[in-house]
Amino acid sequence: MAVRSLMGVETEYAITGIASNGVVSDRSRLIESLFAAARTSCRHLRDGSSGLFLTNGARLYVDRGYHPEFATPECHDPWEAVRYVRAGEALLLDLARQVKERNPHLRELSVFRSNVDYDRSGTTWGCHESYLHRISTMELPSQLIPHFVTRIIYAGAGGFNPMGPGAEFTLSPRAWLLPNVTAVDSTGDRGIFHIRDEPLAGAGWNRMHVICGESLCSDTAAVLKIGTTALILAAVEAGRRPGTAVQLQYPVPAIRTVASDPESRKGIQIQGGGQLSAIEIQRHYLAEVEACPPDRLPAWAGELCALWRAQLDRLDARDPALERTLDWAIKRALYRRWVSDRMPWSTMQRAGRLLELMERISARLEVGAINIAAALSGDASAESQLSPLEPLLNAQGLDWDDMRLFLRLRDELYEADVRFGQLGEKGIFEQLDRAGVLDHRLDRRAPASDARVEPPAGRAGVRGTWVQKLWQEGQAQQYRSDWTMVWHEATGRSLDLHDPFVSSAQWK
Amino acid sequence: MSEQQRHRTDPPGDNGGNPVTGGGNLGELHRAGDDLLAAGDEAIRRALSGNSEAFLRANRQKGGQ
Repeated sequence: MAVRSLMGVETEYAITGIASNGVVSDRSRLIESLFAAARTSCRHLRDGSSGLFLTNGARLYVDRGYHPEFATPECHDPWEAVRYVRAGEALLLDLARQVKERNPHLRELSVFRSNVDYDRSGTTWGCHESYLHRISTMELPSQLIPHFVTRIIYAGAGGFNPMGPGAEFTLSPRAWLLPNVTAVDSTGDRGIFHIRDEPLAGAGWNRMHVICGESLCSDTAAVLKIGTTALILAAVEAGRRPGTAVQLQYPVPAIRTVASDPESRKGIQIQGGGQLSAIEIQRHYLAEVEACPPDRLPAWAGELCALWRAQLDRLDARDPALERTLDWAIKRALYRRWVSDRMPWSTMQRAGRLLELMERISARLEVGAINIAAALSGDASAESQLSPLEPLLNAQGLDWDDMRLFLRLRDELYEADVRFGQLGEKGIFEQLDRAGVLDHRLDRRAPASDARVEPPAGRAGVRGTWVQKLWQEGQAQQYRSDWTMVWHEATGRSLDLHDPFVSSAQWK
Repeated sequence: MSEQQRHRTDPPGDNGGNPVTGGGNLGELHRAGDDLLAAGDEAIRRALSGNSEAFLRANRQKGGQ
């Protein structure tokens, strides 16, 4: 009998409202309106604070940083998890539409699957994964870190280095905001591997909480991100040690190397000597999973491995078809095209590096640092401040008009990258999907609209069924829910959901 | 001569150094690629606000985890 698996995804969304007069709406009021709409239009039980558990077993809440967050119910396979991620997006889009209808002064109310902000502040939105397992948590970092470093070749969101001034394309913007190999912190001093001891289940169960991943638009990329990780975890649970042979010498620089290498060819230093490419490390993990007896893997393992191998083959072959499938590859193709109609891509990259150099040098000038972008957007006298930097410009064969064009294109690319994952018809990915030019959907378990309402089987099913029942009976206000329990506030009677695979539960 | 002016004389057809590979029909692959790029150009044009710098400022927020 195949092993059972359980996983879930929490996604943080950015939200922005702009009034007809161009004024940016107060974000806290927008979020209050969004949750007021949710409380009115969604059947739910309140959680322990201001969030809601829904009939599909999911949780909608406001998280640190004051933004809406949607946590899928506990899912049994990666296709199901992605289906519920999409259900959450549909819900948020619907709530935003309701808020906009009730606030006619809003010209635009947008919800974004943002991963980073391009203001060089290090602002990022998380897309966290959770996996149930029974392995000693001490074992996990060494087995999983080489996977997290290299899975971005298919699971990277794509975009730009959020800490640099140029438009330096990267497979994974979030990779630049992970300064540590392991860390407990998830808000600032993050690690590639997040150490959190909060199982959300009964004794004997652990939860691996992954924070290095990104919010993805492509179903193929999202399913792979979750599915490969769950299978590696299953292989470790089966007694294999897939990470041992590919321990990285320097994981933090390594993830940046992989993120900067769209061809996935650069070598990463392995402990004990030698180098391997990201594709080679991923093929090693695939082989380790396939070496497990089938009864030690989930029933869906074969299908996922076939999808995994197919994408690695395409990456190896540098197959242009990837540009219709994976988030980062779609973005890279689009952005190169957008720029190349206006400026050679190589010049764009050169200008970005030059701007970084100029910023560094200007910081050391006696007159103080020059805001180069501000100087270039001013009049001729403002431009004269830049004369000490002119030799650098000339050495690159560029002039100030080139830099002005670069800055305009850079900001357009940054906006395009935020708009790429915008929910709804204005989103660039959504537009491409509707135009039928992408190839990212997976026929098996196609997203179904009933995921908005219906829970998956198991614990989420028990929770969701009770949310529905208590709401229908007009008793929902008397009850609360969290992941492991539903309880009656006045009497303390509760439904115990600590067993993550429970299929029915009694009130006690 | 600025880089913009020089660019007008650059040879077309930069595909980012990607060799065309895979087992698919070459013509179909090219057509699919061209369709994507044309749709992508149109999608970006429709999505951009017209003042990206202002949009990015308006969109600045606290972020999360």
